[in-house]
Amino acid sequence: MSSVRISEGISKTILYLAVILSGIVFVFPFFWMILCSFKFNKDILSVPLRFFPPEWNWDSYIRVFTAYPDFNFPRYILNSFIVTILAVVLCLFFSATSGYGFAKYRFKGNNLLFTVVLATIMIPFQAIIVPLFIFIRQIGLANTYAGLIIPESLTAFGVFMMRQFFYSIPDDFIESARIDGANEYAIFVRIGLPTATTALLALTIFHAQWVWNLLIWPLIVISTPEKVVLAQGIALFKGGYNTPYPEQLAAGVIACLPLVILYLFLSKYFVQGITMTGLKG
Amino acid sequence: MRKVMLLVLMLVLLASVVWSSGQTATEKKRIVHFHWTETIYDPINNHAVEMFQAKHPEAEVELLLLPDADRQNKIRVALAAEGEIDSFALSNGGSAEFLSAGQMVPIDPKGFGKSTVQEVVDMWTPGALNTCGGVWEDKYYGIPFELSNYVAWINVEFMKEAGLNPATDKPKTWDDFVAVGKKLVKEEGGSRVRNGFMCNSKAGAFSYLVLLALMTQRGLDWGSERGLVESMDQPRQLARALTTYTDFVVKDKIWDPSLAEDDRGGFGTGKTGMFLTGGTWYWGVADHWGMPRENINPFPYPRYADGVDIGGVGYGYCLFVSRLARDPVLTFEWLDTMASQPNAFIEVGYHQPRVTLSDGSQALDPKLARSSIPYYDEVFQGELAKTSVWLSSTKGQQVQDAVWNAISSVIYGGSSVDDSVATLQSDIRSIYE
Amino acid sequence: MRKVSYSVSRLQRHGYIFILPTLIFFTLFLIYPIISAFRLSMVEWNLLAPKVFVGFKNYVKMFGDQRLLNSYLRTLHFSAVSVVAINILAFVFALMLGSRLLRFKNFWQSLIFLPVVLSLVAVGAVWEFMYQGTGFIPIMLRKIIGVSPAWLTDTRVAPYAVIITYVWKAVGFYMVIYIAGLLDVPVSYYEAARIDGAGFWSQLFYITIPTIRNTITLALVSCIIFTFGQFAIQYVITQGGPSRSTEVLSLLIYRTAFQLSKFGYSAGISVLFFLTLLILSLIQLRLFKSGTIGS
Repeated sequence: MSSVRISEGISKTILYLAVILSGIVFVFPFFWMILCSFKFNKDILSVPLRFFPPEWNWDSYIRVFTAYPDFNFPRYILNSFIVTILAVVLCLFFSATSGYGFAKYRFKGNNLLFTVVLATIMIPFQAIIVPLFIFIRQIGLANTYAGLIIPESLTAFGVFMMRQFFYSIPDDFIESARIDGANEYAIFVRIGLPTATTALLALTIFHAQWVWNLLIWPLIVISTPEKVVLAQGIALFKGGYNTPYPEQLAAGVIACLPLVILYLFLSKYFVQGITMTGLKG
Repeated sequence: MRKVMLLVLMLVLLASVVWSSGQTATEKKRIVHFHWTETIYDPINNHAVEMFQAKHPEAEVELLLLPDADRQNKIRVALAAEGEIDSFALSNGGSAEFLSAGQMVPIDPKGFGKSTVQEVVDMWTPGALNTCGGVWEDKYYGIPFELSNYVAWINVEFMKEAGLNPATDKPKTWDDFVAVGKKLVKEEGGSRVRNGFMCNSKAGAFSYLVLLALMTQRGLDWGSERGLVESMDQPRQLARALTTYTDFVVKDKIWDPSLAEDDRGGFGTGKTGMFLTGGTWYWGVADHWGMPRENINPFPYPRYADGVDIGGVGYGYCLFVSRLARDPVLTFEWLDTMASQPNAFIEVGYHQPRVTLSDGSQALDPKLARSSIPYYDEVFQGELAKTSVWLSSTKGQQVQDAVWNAISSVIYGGSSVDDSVATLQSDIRSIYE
Repeated sequence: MRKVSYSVSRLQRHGYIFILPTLIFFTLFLIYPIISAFRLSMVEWNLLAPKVFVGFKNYVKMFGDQRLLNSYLRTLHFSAVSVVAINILAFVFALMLGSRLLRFKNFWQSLIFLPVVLSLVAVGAVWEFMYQGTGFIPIMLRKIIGVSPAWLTDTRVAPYAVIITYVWKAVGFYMVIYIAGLLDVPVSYYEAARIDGAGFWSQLFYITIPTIRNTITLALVSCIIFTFGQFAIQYVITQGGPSRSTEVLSLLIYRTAFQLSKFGYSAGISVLFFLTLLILSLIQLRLFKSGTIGS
């Protein structure tokens, strides 16, 4: 018995060591980013490299908002919030409704249509940027929030995930509700959606981080300063001759915060959500 | 209850989508201008907006300040999609593509209060519109906004440290350049801490422009499409220039690309003793890194002992009125205002070749130029008469891409110069077949 | 497999209504553009001059294009190494975090998942600093093992620099999928195995892995698809260099269109890319024939 205890003790130590080491490695770049945002420009890439700032640059975060009158970071943050929230809500809507439809109803073309939807995952975004932009322009949505939100709300992964989830819900509740005379949409809203909450929360994190960080589409669609999103703002921050690295990193840290906070709130639902979708098999 | 909530949610969604896609219509005439962003110049450009809007209260200028690498793309996309784009700025390397596709409006003298185009052209130094890329098929389209040329730069502190005399030891030939470069290299603890020379190690445009000068010094005409294609029949000269440049990395080892990515910043932070891609404007940005001005000296590009006497590339930017401009005459007036502050710009090192303003007063004050730009007469003006020409072609980007590929496959990919030249020949020929 | 009878009763037709909004939007904003891309691949166009119809000439050119071949190989290399690294690491982490010996599971999970939510534009600059000659990584390496490769300027090493950053960013996501999958393995299986005297490795290979076959399939298939289309990392850190050693397909597509202004050719490459992915996915699904989709 005691030999088991000892080997368990050793295993535990090794395990904790491995986990702690991994944790450090994974968090380090973020930590380094924060640290460098408190350095002065000349110290970030100085030779020899100093770990801690030789002098602490407490102004970088303030300067992000005050020293660059052409970069309206509060506005960019607001835009990112608007676009992300609406795109995620729209995504949940599409995924939940179509996932439910594919999973719970047997109709002609079910499998075929689903395969078509799924195939869209394989369409590289770069491939459709130009035709999509021209189309968006034609319907008058260039340089608008809608022009950002609608394309960014479409992901076949969400449809796939929700379909998997709804498959795993037994039909009994639904049948009995039907017998009670409820119409299909009421059933969806009152029975389907509530049970799907955790899966929807998981999908929220997944999609929110994609939309929030997406750079390439806003770069093409938006050119008026008032609709620029945060990812764009940071990328735009590169000056022609010199990039203000501390301020760019500070803006980067600020950009990471909302998602980190969102994740901290929803993290416990994430694993649950994936489990419940039966995604893993 | 839930159903009602769902309905309300959907209505809110719909409403927000509709609202967000609407544009508030303004009564004012809008002028949307595509420009690039640079911290020291932005306030000056914004001031131009204020001046113009004060003179024309019925107009509203939206100055789009875009990152340099992105600007041309944005302009192209906006024009193609018939977006809001009244005017924009392009460099002389980039304007050909747009001019040849008829995207700009020829200069209208009414916008400047003049009656002939020649009167407008005469407000700038002779030949400025040509060098800045504002002319196409003998018609004038662009208002010069910057005229500059690349010269070489060296850190005299490092020179003294290495036992060199700044007054006499600045390189005159490329062989000198390598010798001086070797002396300026600094290693500490087995790794490189300072390059003798460096160029941008990621963006090909800069190496392309330096190589362009070298090729021109070898007698090849890389300033025109025809000259470029014909030069492909001279592999020995191509190889000679390419070897000079790539040897900085491969043989002479005065340039270690992994030390730093950006040459302008690298020079400003002491990571290199020399660099080759700075114009007068560099004075304005050097302050940003706290590099004392007395430590920096510009000097003319080195020459080949047996080559053509020509220096770094001359380039310029022009402002254009787009074919989608809603009020071309008013837009030209806006451009006139935008280009009317050469003295404010020269103080930060930015050189605009404007002689007179539209009201007849003096534009650029030569005395101010000389006092703001150290070595203005000795180095810049002298070299301005002997600049290599930046190719003006609709396929300019593809050429630049092919040349950078030739360079980087030698300095990074271990290819031989001859193989690289062969690839370059086939690439250039197929671009212009 | 239950036999499905497609009785199109009035009830079942509600399904059409549910999927309708999604179908409409997907068709308009995803499917229609890809079809446009097919059409676009038949022309030469730089966005400003009028389109010039060239038929299949772009595809013919693609066959002899060294740059495209290089890009293809780079993408395959990047995907293969990344997918293997990500899945092995994710599985190992999932095992570690699932161990009953570990406390504060959620905390460790969050640490490893953190990179997934970070903005690449923001963190990309930091990784670039860390890889540079005087940056953190070479300095550490020289301290520990005395040498460091030139991460960003050596054509043999740069692909690995990009892979490392990508793996760092993506592992957390797949780890969560594996965690969820592992939760599903009934504890009774392990009990039975332990009674039979099976050790750790036997349990792993004979119980754990077979039971989570579907999870592995899902992780692998989605990983391959996402990794193949990856371009942000290369764009931010190396710009496809040095000397095109990290120029993956999606970066080439973007470049050909927005830098070289060859929109027709770019569309042709996109079509090729799409077909490749399609074939790859079909092959994988055949190979792993499990019923994740449709059972």
